Amino acid sequence: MTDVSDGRIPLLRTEALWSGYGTRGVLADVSIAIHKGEVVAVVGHNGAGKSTLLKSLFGLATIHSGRIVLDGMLVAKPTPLNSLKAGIVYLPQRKQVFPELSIKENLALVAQRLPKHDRSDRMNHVATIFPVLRQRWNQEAGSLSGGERQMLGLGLAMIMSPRLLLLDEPSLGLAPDLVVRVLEKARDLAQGYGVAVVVVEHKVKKVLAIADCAYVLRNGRVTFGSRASDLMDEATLLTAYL
Amino acid sequence: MMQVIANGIVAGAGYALFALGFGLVHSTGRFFHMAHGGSYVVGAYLTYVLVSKVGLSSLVGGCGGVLGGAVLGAMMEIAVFRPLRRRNASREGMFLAALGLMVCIQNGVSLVFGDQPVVLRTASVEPGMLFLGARITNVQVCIVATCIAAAASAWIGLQKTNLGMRIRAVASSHELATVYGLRPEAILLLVMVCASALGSLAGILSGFDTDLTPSMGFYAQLMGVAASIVGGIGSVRGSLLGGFMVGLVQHLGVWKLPTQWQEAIVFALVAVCLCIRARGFLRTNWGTKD
Repeated sequence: MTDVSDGRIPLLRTEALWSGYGTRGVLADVSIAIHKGEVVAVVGHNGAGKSTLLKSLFGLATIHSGRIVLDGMLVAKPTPLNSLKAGIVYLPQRKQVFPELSIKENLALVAQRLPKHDRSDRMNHVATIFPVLRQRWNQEAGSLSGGERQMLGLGLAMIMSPRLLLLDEPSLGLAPDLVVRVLEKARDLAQGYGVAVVVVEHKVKKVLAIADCAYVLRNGRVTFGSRASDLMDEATLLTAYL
Repeated sequence: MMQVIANGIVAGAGYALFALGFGLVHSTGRFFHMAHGGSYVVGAYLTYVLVSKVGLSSLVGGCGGVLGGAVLGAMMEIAVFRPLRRRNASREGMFLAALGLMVCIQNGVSLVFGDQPVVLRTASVEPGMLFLGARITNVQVCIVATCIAAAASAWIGLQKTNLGMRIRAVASSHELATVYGLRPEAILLLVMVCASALGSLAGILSGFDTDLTPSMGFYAQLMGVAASIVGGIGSVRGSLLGGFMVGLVQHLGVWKLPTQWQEAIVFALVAVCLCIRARGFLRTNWGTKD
């Protein structure tokens, strides 16, 4: 196992995880640790298994063997509903919001999972974190720009007060300055609210700049795991990728 | 002339009621539910049994028929469509499965009740009231009123309630709905039950107006789908518009032409409308994307 925990107890860890889709294997012997309030970057080539790792943690992929341990408890069979109950929220690639619903409806929809008396408070709280959303409260989410949609996606995640946030390629289709803003927002959520954030990202340097630790995946295996700053070094990055 | 228009409106109300349910299933389940006519025919024949054989009142028998149609819809969803969806069946596969179900249901009804028309209404035929130069029966008034009430309820339910918001979200993306814990399978089942209830209601009302035959579901399916496409699949207002357009064109057409042209006129309308508005006149913006 690649241990970057420095002796701390992780919020979630995987042990020799093998997973994929149906009988098809994608991940092989993956062991990682994710700590509270930390941003974990997962990088690697296309098809390395980065998105599958997030889907495995959330319950959208098939676990073939290995263990997922959350708060020291073994997660027998992760499903999306159980993950949400445990405070794990996943934002998929490209489509994180319901484009045909208004911003308010998107937030209200996700807030339905909360007790009634908490809903409006949580929605207002999210509007405070992302002021751009309140300005366009009744606008269809489909008419937002890529960056604004990402903000709404993060807002939807924050409604559920996640303990672990799984972001799959949040920079996809965004202008470079927006990528930085979205990643910085993810870091703010980790530092300000103690959320553990796992970011799968192609823009390696940008994500390493905001991450605390990083894993490199190649052909479904973890080939490198360290503090993110260690991986920033060009030679180390090259070695990890090749 | 006024009688022709009145007949067109009554027929159109029936098609609109059918199109409403068909469009709901298409928007959320994303397939051409060709077995929707099954609920139409089963609801009507079940009402016939409850009213004519068991001796229940028309109202109670009609409620039983709607319930039966809804149960049939639930069975189709659980036994056929859900397993196919879990196996990632294509839309064409789902379409074919639905068509097969429709054929089975029609043949089943034919086996049990025979191919001869049966009469659902128990009272004698009344000439109907005179309204703007046209004679309209109480049943026909009931068909139009039910159609408008059902459309209004569906619109309010979809746009103004939490459940409606969930339905629109599932129609938007099954995967994203799963990610946010919305239980798409439960929503799809609920939509199928409601749509089938609407379909059977259309069949029952039509049965009180005219006679019942095992093939009545297939004919309603043709006209209902045409109405849905013309108005805009999935749109409540589009179903109303499409239904009334199809009904009126159908009846106004055969005012001057032989009745054999009735269906051809409707599909000529579909072709013309598709040339003008390829996605229907009032297509909804939800449930149209993957």
